[in-house]
Amino acid sequence: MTIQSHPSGASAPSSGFKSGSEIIFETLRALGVKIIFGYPGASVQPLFDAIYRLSPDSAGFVHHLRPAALQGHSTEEPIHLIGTNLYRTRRVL
Amino acid sequence: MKHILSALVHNKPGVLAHVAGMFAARAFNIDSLAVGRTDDPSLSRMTIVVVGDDRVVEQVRKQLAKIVTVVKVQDFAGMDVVARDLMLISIACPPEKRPEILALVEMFQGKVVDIGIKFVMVEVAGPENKIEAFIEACRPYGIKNLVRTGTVAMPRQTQTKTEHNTDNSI
Amino acid sequence: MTTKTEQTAPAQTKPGSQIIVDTLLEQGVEVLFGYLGGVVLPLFDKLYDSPIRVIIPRHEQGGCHMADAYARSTGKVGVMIATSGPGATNLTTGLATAMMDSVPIVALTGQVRTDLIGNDAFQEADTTGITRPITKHNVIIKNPNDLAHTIREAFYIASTGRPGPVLIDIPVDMQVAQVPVTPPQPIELPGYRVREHGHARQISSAAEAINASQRPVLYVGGGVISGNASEPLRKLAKKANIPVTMTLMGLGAFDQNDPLSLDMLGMHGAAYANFAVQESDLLICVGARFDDRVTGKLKTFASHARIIHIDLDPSSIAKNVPVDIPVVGNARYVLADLLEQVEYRERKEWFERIAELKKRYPLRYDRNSKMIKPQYVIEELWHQTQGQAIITTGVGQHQMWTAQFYKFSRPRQFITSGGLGTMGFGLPAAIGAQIGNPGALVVDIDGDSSFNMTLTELSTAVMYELPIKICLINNGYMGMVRQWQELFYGRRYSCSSLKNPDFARLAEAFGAVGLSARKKEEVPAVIKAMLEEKKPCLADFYVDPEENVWPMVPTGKSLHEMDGLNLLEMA
Repeated sequence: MTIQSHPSGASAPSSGFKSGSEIIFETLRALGVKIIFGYPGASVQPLFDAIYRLSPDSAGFVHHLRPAALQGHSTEEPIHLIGTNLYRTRRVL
Repeated sequence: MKHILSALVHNKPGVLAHVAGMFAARAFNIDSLAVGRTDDPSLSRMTIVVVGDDRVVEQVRKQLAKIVTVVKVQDFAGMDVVARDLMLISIACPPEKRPEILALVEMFQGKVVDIGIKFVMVEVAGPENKIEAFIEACRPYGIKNLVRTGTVAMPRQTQTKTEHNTDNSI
Repeated sequence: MTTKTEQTAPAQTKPGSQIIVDTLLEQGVEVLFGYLGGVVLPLFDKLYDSPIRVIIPRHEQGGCHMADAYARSTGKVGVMIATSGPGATNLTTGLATAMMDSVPIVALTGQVRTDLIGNDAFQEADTTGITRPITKHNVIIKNPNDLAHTIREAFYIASTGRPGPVLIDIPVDMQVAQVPVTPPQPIELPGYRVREHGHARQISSAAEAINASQRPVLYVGGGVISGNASEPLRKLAKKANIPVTMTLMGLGAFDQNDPLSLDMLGMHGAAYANFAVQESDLLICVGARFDDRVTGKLKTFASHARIIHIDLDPSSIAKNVPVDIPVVGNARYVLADLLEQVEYRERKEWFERIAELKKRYPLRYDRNSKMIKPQYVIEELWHQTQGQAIITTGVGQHQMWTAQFYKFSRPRQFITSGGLGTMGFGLPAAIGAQIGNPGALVVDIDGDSSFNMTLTELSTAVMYELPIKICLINNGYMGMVRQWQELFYGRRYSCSSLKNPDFARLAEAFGAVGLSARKKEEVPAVIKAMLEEKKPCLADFYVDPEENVWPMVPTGKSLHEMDGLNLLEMA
């Protein structure tokens, strides 16, 4: 199975394909996610780029993921977190 | 390709988790894992069947050996070994089918360990291909449940000089 | 029949916490880093009366990085103590950082009482489960008689072979239990064997290959530094006349001022180093691991070269590239053995080619810009410190520019998170390095985003009066992320710019000295003032926000297919 991909994670509009990051973003949006907390890094670049392109206003973000996790607990809406690489994810969980 | 690795490890809590965790972290594919005590109460033996090419298995062996609580690792590839898997299998067995099922069991040198109105539980041990063959033979009758230990293996005393030691059917 | 009067006197007993402190002292621990909590109170109580100096960070992650940098900069084992639950989980980034860079740390974590384990008790976490993949070895104490022995084993495992972090989880009742004092048993770890000396035949083959080669390159990494093999390396390079290139972790293993130095190779390494490797006919890898940041596309990496790989860890050898002559052993001994068998070769054409490459593709930047260029700040710092300071960094562009423009001359001088790439490492690392080297000048060259992650440790520097310097390369961005977004995502700067505080004022609020430079002309004076400060001092440099690190090997490309060569090339 060949996996078509573009380094930036953006898909050509007419190709009939969507990139993984676009699918992730659209699924989150369909599930009703309004705010995403996150911190960029090499391994999540395509995801952040999809957010930037497909979302009318950019996602809010914080300097350090731990405060993001705490803020997430205080509202009733599902809050989702994106982290890059092993160590940032550990900080959150 | 399946490789059998045999590892001697400290008999302490957490060692199995460490080995399993290492396999998961490095995305090595475990086909089966059997572990039990040895005659030395401080040591256990793990028999792991890994799926992969020679290069992958070489890394698996080295990463295993690196774990502090792993004492020794052997790769049985290309060696003459005795390899056994033990299975308990519960087969649907109405009274009229009983004779033919029992004949099948005898052919595979299995043992009936439990019998009832609807099912018969059979214990079969042997190399993997024998176990697989028995399972296929039982399928038409209906398999209720089965459990396997996974392969355990030990090298033979005399290593015969054949090119491919793949026939472990004895 | 024994009567009461004939019974032997009771053996001397001590509480577990005292046994722990005694064993630490026996292992030569003079300073440790730790943060309190309920289940480590007994241990800290005994530390109160001991001669061991205890440094308290503001966050366990910071403390762990401090212990890490202490170890890297001194060669000793760093010790970190944290409490159970959140204290232990806060260590994970620090432990993973040490694991990836093979740093010897012993971490002692408190744990809830043994009868409460697994009960979701207050401040309970499955510490050994969580840290298993990020420690070289870990263990939980279930019997107080095991305390001394386990600690000795931990130090042994952490500091021998390929070093790494070892964690001991100690339930509080183990700390309080009375333990008979027994003489130390010898350490028996069946299956833990360290191969120090290389195989003689392999070494001979390697020497033969070296003597026959026309275009050899020594590619050295962190293993040369942790193996204390810098001197044999220098002698070998000189005797056999071979140029030396270093990984990020290997910088300082060979004096960059030496003409044989090819400086750093890899994704952001010097172009001349990358070209040399790609054109070499023999690559001698010592204490490095062919990491993806170094090799670029594996299939075309050093495709004309035979490869010799000298490493202490057998699992590193032939992991990524096929190796022609593997030698398992400590670099210190293997290089010394090799030294006896290699011969000098002039290799005139090879060195002419290298000189040509160095002349054609130097590391440089626009010196005529009106804005403060980050490379300028680092170069100026290098001049004013005579290249002698101990340097720590965060992660990102500033880290790469430091590797490019601060030339290192000795091992254990450059303290940086290479394998894990942990932002926020710089400040606590500077603190740990200063504690380990009291008289030395320690400078943290940091980025604004990295610094934001652990800046709370400024309090620690002020509290212990550590005269560290923070040279802040402030571009208001997560620089490396922004560079990738500029090059590969059409300048869509998604979430990579920050609203920063006034760092100089922030430093003053912490009790440190805060300086700043917004104009190019201010830079030398501000650096000078920063270096002369006796208190911890932060200097905030507002640099060109869109400067990029060149050259760059994009992902998936070969090591010689670098971007940015047109910007570096001298006609």
